[in-house]
Amino acid sequence: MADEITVTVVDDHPAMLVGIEQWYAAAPEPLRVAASGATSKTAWLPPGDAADVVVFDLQLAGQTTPAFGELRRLVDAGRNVIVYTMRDDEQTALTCLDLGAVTFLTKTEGADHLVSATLAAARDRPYTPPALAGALSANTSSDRPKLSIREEEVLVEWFQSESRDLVAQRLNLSPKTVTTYLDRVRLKYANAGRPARSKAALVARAIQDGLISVDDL
Amino acid sequence: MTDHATATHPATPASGTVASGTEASDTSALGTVATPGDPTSGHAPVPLRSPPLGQPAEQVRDRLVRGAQTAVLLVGVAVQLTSCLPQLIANHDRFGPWWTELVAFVMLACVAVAIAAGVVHPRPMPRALAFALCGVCVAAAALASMPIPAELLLVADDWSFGIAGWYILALLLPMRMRTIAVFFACHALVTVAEVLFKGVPERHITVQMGMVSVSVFGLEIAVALLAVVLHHTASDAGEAARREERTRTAEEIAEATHRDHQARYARLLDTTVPLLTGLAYGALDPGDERVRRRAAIETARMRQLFAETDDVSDPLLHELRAGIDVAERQGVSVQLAVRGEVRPVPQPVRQELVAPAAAVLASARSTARATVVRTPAAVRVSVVADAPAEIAAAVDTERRSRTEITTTTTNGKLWVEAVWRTKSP
Repeated sequence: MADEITVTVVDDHPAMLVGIEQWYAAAPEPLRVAASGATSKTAWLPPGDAADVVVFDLQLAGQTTPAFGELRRLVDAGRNVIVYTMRDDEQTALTCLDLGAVTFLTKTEGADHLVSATLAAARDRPYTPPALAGALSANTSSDRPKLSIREEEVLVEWFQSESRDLVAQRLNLSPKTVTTYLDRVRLKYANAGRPARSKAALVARAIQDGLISVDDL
Repeated sequence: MTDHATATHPATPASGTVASGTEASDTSALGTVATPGDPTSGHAPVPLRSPPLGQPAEQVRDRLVRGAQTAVLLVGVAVQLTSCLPQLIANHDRFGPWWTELVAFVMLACVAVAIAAGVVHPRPMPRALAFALCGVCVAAAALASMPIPAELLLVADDWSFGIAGWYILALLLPMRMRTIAVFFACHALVTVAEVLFKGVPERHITVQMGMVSVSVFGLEIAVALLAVVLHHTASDAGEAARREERTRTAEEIAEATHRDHQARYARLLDTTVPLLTGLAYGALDPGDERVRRRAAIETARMRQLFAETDDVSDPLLHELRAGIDVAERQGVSVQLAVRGEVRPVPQPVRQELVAPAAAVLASARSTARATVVRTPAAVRVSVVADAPAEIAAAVDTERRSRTEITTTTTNGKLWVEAVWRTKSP
C-alpha cells in the first residue's frame, strides 16, 4: 500500500471523526485515517506524526481562541495542514493561509471538498474551496497579492456558486481553466507573506506541473 | 408560491417577516435596524447615525493650515509695512527709476490681499491661482531690485528679497515641502541671475550676500517645516476622531445586534426544541425523510446564528434574511455566506439587489445558497437554487437602473447574481 495517503485528524467531536473516516473510505483513491484525537498532541506522537496530511480543527475544546499557535508549530515542522473549522470569517481564513496551512475548509463544505483537499495536500497541489475563495476575494489588506481581473471574477463566482460548471458557463471558460485560475491565485498567496515549507512546496510543485513558470515569480 | 408552500410543508402562520423585509425606507449608511417578525423589538426602527467618514481629518487639517497661513501672512504684512515701506521711501531718488520699486510694492500688497481673501474664503485656494500668485511674488522681487546696484542686492537697501519669500510661504503652506522648496529655489535663481547679470561684486560682499540669503531662507524653511509637522498632527487628530466615531457606531450596532440575536434565539425554542425533544424521546424517527429535512433546516438556521457577528446590523443582509426566512418556511435548507466588510448601500440599490435573490429563494425546491460579497469595487448578492428556469426570465424583465443582473441555468440549477458596481474594475 505504498500509494496510500495517511491522515491525522485533530478534532474534538467524535461524530466528525466517524464522518471523515466514512468520506475517506468512499474516496476515489486510498485514504486512511492513521490517527485521530481531540488535541494537537495526536499529530506529534506516533502514529500521527508520520501521516501525510493533518486535518486540523481550529476550535478545540477548552480553548476560547483559535489555535493559531498550534497551527504555526505544525506548519513549521513541515506538516501539510488542512484547517477544517466551524469559523466562517475571512480574517481567520487569511490568517491560516499566511501561517502556511495548505488550505482552509469550513465545516459547511462537505465530503467532496475535504477529500479533494486532502488528495491535493498530500501531493503539494493547491486546492481552493469556495469559502476560502470568498475570503480571498474580499481581502482588502494592503499586502494582498495583485490579481488579474479574470482571477478576481473566478474567485467571486466560485464562492457564490460552488460549482465549476456554473462558473465556466458564466465566464465562457472550460471547467479546467476555472481550476487553473483558482490555482494561480492560491500560488500568488503561497508566494506572499510569512515563508513556510508548505508554501515553498506548493510553488515548487506548480512549476514542475507547468502551472506557472519561474518567470511568473 | 403559496401552492409550493402547501405542497411541501405544512404552512406556518405568516407573521410580519415578508412585509418588514421591504419596509426599510431610509437611505443612510447604517440606516435602521428593523427586526422582522419579532414581537419584542417590534417594528420600532433603531436609528443609527451614519458617520461622516473622512470629514473630520479634512476639517482639522483645513483649520490648522488656515491658522498657520494667517500667522505667516501677518509676519509678511508686518515686514512689508515696518521694514519695506520705509526703505522704499528712502530709496526714492537714490538709484534712478523708482517706479519699478513702487509697482513691485503694490504688486506684493495685492498678493497679501489675495492671500487674506483666500484664508477667509470657505473653499481652499485653487492650486493654479496659488502658483500664479507665487510667480507674481518672484516677478515683483526681481522688478523691485532692478534699479539697485549689484553690491547692494540682498542687503537692507534691496527690501524686496525677504518679503517675497514670506508671501510665497503663506501661499504654499497647504502644499508639500517639495513644492515650497521649488519656488524658493526659483526665487533664489532669479536673484543669482540678477547678480551675475549686473556683475559679481567683490568677494566679501558676495559672502555677505550668501549669509543674508541663508538666514532669510533658513527662517522661512524652518517655518515651512513646522507646517509639515502640522500636517501630520492634523491627520493624527483626524484619525483619532474617526476612530472614536467608529467605536460609537460599533457600540450602537452591537446593541441592535444583541437584541436581534436574543429574539432569534428565542424563536429557535419554537422550532428546534420540539425537534430535539422529539428525537430524544423517540417520537420522531431520524430515518424519516421529513424529520431529516426539518433537521437540515434547523441546522442551517442555527449555523446562521452562530456565524453572525455584527452582520445583522446592516440593512442589506437584514432584507436578504427576510427572503431566506420565507424559503425556510417552505422547507428549503438555505446556506448563507457573507464576505467583506459592511458598507453603505442606498435603499433603492438594496431593493434591486435583494428582490431577485428573494424571488429565487421563494421558488427554490429544496436547497439554496445565498451569498453576499462586498469589496470596495462592488456589492454582490447571489443565490444558487434548484428553482425553475422560468424565474430567470421573470427576474430578467424587472426594471433596474443601478445594478446589473446575470442569470445562469444548468442541470436544474438556477443562479442569479445582482451586482452594484461602485468602481470600474
